[in-house]
Amino acid sequence: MTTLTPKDARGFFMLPQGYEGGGYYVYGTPDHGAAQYAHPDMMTLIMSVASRWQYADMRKFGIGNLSLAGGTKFPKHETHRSGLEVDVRAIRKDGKQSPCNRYHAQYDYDATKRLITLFIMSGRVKNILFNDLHVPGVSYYTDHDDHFHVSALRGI
Amino acid sequence: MRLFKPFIRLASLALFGVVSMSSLAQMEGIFTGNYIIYSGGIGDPQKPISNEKKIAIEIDGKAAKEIFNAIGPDVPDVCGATADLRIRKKNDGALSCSRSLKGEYRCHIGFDLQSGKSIGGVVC
Repeated sequence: MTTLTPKDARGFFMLPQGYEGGGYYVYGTPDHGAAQYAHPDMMTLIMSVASRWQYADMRKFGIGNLSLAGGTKFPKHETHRSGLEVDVRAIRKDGKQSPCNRYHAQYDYDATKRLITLFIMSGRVKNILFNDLHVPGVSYYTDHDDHFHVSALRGI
Repeated sequence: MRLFKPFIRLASLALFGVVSMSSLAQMEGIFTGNYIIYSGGIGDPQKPISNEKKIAIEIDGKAAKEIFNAIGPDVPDVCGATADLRIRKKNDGALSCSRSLKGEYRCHIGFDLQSGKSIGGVVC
């Protein structure tokens, strides 16, 4: 049976859920993909990074909030309306699909750094907010201890 | 003229009183918004647990506009702030307000419900 990926009024598709090919898993509020409508440029970025990641690591990384259908205002977020912003969980050493902040024993600095580097090396990233400033290429922003926020460039 | 001075003084006081009350009235009102009680980070909130409960409160409408206007100026180059999205913050984001191009105002505050400390209530 073919399942169609939901599409919103902007023409943005929901990030594929339950992706089994490696790379990423999904989380977010609201769940079931309701917060995961991605601009085509962001979709390309995520797929590109996920594809590269699976060759380097057996663990999947967590993709969280992107944008709500239609780009309506996103509770508890200043941005996340354009589909060009995504939250990604820091990598855990045990590979569990749950949050982990940078002070936690399960925080895997090396893997998180590798993942962030993949995003940066794509050439499609405007900036990344994350509070472990030992990771090259990130900037500090309040409450970014358990995830990093990626802003994608448009039209690359 | 001397007879008029107390009158003028009284009139001034009355006028000042009216203006003050009027100003006070403009700063009062009922606000609308929403809240979430959670544990973990506000960017990846989890169900509250017995030893970790936090609250994030979002205020919108007229109250948010008045707070936004009171805490300027805008913080540039932060969290994707552009002409479409103006952001103002105080105390490392413990109080944060934004104004969208459509003129929507939102403010966020938050508290650790165990300690009572202000922790902010929004992420980028």
